[in-house]
Amino acid sequence: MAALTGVERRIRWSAIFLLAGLAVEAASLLKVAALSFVVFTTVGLLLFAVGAALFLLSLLEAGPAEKT
Amino acid sequence: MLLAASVAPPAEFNLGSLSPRPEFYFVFTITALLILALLVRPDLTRQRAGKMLAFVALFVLPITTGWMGFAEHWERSKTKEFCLSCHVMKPYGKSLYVDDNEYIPAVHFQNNYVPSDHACYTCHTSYALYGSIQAKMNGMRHLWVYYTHSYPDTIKLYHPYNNRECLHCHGGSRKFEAVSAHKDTDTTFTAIVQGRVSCLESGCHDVAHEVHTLKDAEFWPGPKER
Repeated sequence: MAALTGVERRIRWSAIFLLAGLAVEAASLLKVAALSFVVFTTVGLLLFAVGAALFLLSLLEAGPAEKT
Repeated sequence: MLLAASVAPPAEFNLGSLSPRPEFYFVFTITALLILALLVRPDLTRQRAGKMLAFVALFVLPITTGWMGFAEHWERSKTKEFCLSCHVMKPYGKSLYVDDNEYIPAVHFQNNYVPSDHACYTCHTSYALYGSIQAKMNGMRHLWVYYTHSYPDTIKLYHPYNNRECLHCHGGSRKFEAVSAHKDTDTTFTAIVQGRVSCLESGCHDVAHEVHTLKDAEFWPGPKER
């Protein structure tokens, strides 16, 4: 595999944050408890937001797509 | 007394578990697999199809999964298990099993007048237009005071219990109207509807959770089948 570009590195970080968000979401759904709700709405949603934001930033960095 | 008495309530109000809906598992799994693929091979985005895949996997699906997770938590926050997961609420859960039909919450819970798994939410949510939103806002505040240990020794309602919540179910019911005190004169009924005579605080139905008297109470063992 060729060396990753800046955009691809950002996409990889986005994937890491989103997977962490999914892990928090899955863990928070194991128990019906107030703490689960707090963890999901703070940590989980924050990780999702950071992951999605990194992806959107990578789109800006990449610029317009070339037609193939 | 109601049914057979017991010296201790069932240990029902421990932390519970609920399974999310099947479609949640499906979307969650697809999302995780696609994100994992892009984590391993971010160079897939060099092609146009890969860029579209990345948009779906890293933006559309996570938002969908996050929203579904939030909706799941939102529904769970209405359950009795959720409310009783804070230890300061345990005595209130215990009071639902008191074997005494003077205890209004216990009578409603034990006879399924309210859904047993949503007992707290059913009675403590305003039936007004924004009642559910208001309950959630209050719930967030409750979480804050619970985790910062700033809750009061004696927990009280924000406002006197509104007759509207009682009349939401009882108003117009045959059993309610058969009680002469409710309908003897128009004035009495009007006073109840307008809240000038409180259902809970006018000496008629004034035994609620009474958590400070539970040590002397007898308890219903719970339904036989679960």
